[in-house]
Amino acid sequence: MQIYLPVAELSVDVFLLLGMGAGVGVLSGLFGVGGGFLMTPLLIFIGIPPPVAVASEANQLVATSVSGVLAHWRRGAVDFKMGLVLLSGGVLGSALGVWQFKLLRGIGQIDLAISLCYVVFLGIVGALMMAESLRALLRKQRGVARRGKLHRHTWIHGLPLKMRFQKSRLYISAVMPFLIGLLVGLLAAIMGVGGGFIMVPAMIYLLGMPTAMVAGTSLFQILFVVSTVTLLQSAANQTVDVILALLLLAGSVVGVQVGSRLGARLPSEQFRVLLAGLVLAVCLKLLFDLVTRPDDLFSLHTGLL
Amino acid sequence: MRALAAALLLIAAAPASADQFVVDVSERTVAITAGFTGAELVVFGTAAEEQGSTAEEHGVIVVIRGPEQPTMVRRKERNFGVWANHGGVAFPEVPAFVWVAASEAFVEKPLMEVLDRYRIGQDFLAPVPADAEAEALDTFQAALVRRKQANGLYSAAFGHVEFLGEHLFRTRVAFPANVPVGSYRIEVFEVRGANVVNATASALHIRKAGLEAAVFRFAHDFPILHGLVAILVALMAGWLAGAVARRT
Repeated sequence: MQIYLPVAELSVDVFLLLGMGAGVGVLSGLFGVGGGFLMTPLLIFIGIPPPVAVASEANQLVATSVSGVLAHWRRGAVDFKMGLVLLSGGVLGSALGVWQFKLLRGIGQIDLAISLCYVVFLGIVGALMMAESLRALLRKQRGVARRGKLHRHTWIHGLPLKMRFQKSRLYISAVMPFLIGLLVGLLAAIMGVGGGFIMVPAMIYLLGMPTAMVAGTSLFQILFVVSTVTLLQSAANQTVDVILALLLLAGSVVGVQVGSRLGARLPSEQFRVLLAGLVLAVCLKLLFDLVTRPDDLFSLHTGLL
Repeated sequence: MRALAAALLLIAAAPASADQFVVDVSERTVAITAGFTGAELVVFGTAAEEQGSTAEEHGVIVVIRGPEQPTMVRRKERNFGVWANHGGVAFPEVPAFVWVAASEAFVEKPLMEVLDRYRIGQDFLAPVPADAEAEALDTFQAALVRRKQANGLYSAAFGHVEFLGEHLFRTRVAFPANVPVGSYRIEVFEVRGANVVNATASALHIRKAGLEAAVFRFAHDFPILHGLVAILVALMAGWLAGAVARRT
């Protein structure tokens, strides 16, 4: 059954969109990731114009993150003070990102910029995840547990504007979380991702936040950043397709439930290797498309295309 | 469909006199709704001259052309191993859609040759650039037509105009799902020998309708409000999904 997407201005199979939502949803449920970094490239692969894919995926992420934030908030696992510092960077970053997006679109380079960002970030994150999960697998086989130091003093603690974050039991400079928020906001605007895959490791390793606070706080920041991106993309580029976002959401709601139930029963280390493999595969496919000679060197640009 | 059959019957019932050249189309407007996967129209009419009676090359050519759009043609080049857009030519007025059909006398011949010979709709084959001095202009013009054909928006070959008897003709045009919205012109030419002996033009409108039209207009006319509503809808959908999931 085909449906005509009013903003993307093309017709797509409804079940394909629901299926993609469900598939990425299962992965989200399994691994606790937002899934934007898989969904946006998939949308581009099926022919949705990249600007529409990025903006509509941001809109869908508003919906996927809100229930997560509420669940963590009920458990008291959101550090609002840290969240607001991250968010102040995030709002600035997403405004810069949307502005950059409009500029790049005007000179015909936005598709290239989106692909390049994906290749770089999926490559880095995929490789790190693969290394980390393989190491975890090996460690499990050998049965050796390592313990790190509780507190390490690094150059980050020398930055000015120190703030106390009671919930996370941290006394650190606000500059670092602001910069992390800025980067994530930029990525959200250009790549149509929540940015959890960058932010979560950054919060753990760079800020030293307790893991219990990381998921809820990052979701809090993501909710507001993707909302900002949705608003700005709609205002500046008119590329948000609500129908597309809702169809993806309908699929992912079911997928996430299946995924989180599966996750409780499956060996997570082995599956982490699979997720890393999938991330690297998407990265390689995008890289392949960039470096192989296209069938036709010419392309037409009217309106969104 | 019944109306069309009735119309055809009416025309068939009244035998065309020698100077009658009448053309009509099965629908004047095409509405793009949620389930739109393309549309099919029938263009039909009576030719004044008897089919194949006098000259060897006698028949009908139908041209349907869509809204003019500014179109940018960009060329990719390899930089640092990556294929990226590098340079392009802007064409301020390019018909978004062109479809051509002809009766038997022409369909075996190349499209361009026939259109060129009778000076019909040839401007779309050589669109006018914003900058007439643009380098390698003809490659960009050819690329524009080639990409349009690849997207199914320009005819790559003639469609068939069918003659039912000596005067009555009809042809079916299929608009693809990606057909642009706007005003279209249906031009019908009767050709004999080296001359166009009759020509008519009529209008056709393709527009979005229903929910699709409302959403599109809202997104473009009130972009900020649309963004806020998009966020609200997503918040509510997400909250609802979470609430349902907690119950089960």
